[in-house]
Amino acid sequence: MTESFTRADDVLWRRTSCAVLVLPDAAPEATVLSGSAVAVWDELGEPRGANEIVTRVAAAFAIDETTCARGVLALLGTLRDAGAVTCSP
Amino acid sequence: MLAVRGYDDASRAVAAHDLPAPGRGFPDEPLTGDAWKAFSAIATTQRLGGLLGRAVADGAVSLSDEHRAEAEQWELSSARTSLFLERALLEVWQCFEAAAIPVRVLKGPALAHTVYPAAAMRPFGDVDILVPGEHFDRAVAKLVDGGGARSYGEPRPGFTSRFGKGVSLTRRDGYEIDVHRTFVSGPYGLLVDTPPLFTGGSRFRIGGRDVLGLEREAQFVGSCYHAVLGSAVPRLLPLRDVLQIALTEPFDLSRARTLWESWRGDAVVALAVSHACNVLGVAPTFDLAAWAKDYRPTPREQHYLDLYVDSSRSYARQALAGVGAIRGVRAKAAYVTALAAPSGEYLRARDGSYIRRAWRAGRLAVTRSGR
Repeated sequence: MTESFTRADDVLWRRTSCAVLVLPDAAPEATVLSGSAVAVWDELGEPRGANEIVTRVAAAFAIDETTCARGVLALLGTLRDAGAVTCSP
Repeated sequence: MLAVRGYDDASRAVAAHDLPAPGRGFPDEPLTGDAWKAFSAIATTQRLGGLLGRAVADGAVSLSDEHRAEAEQWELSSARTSLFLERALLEVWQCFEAAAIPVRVLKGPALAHTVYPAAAMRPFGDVDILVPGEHFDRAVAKLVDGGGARSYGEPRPGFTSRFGKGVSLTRRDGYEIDVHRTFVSGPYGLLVDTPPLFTGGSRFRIGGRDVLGLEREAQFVGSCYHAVLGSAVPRLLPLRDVLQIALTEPFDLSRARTLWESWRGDAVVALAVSHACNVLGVAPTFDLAAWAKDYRPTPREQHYLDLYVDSSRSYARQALAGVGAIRGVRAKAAYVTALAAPSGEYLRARDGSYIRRAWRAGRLAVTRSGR
């Protein structure tokens, strides 16, 4: 069983030319995503498992999946804790 | 004729970037030294961060690493403000929805999500909403109950809901909500028939909720009013809005014309479109621009326009001229009385220029009507 992640329906966000700003409900400050974190945010447009996101982002940036996984999982955790991302079984 | 001042060639090019029609190109000279200083002052005050970011990303303008980093910060800062304002907008929307108060979102948030290719291209510094006159006082009371501070009162109770443009409220979080009864003050605001604006709308989604702006053609006419009547020297983003809407499908010119003609706004729309084309360097080859270019205001229209533009701009004269736009003797009398003899509470609360100007307008009206 793999958890799937997707953007929270009520999260406010904005894509700029260099980043994505994310403002979850009740968050005191917006989170700025840049670089490969923007690619992760893009992947969250529809429900995906963490492994799938890692594979896709690693391929897009031509980076090692193990290294990529650490960053992606940490980011998913941060976004989920902030209420920007929902996680369903 | 409107002034073209307050912005340089580079800022005009940024404001025209990625329009659906070719606009002003960027100057050949690099933006360095004093040119950059002048440009950055304009870009920040005119909220061009989003369009500049787009222009840089598209390779339309080349900046040094230092200036590019600066521009990225402007864009991020603008986007951040817009997000917090959208949060405020959602709170207001839910509050009004619960109270069965009809509302339409004006300007920035609505245009960013319904007309521009990307919302970040159209940042905003406050939230503007339109509320029907009959719900206006209740709407303002709801926002005040929620902690909003009204920036100024009204000459007499019920004046704004009947005759005024609207009111600004500052929330506890510092963000500003402008509650409009109509688009602008003075005669052109009084001539707008607002009830039909609440029958349709442009739906857009923020924070998981659907909200409504004006229908596209009303957005256009409202943007024309805002662009050339809202400030003494038209700002770049409102001018961009005018062309962005007019040149983005779907846009029903015939429907828009019906609206502006019914509000006697022909001269306003013509001026807005012509000036936007001039400032943003768009050739007036499309039907609307060709019409606008050839339009000649009637003496009355010119008189009304003079109340709003550049050095002739005067709240007192706008207020006075508003008498001519009000239908019915009783309504005219109520309007003049409120301006000439505002309540004591209002007078005590005001010591700024607004009341002096309003007072002057009322006195002027009484003097003239007594002749």
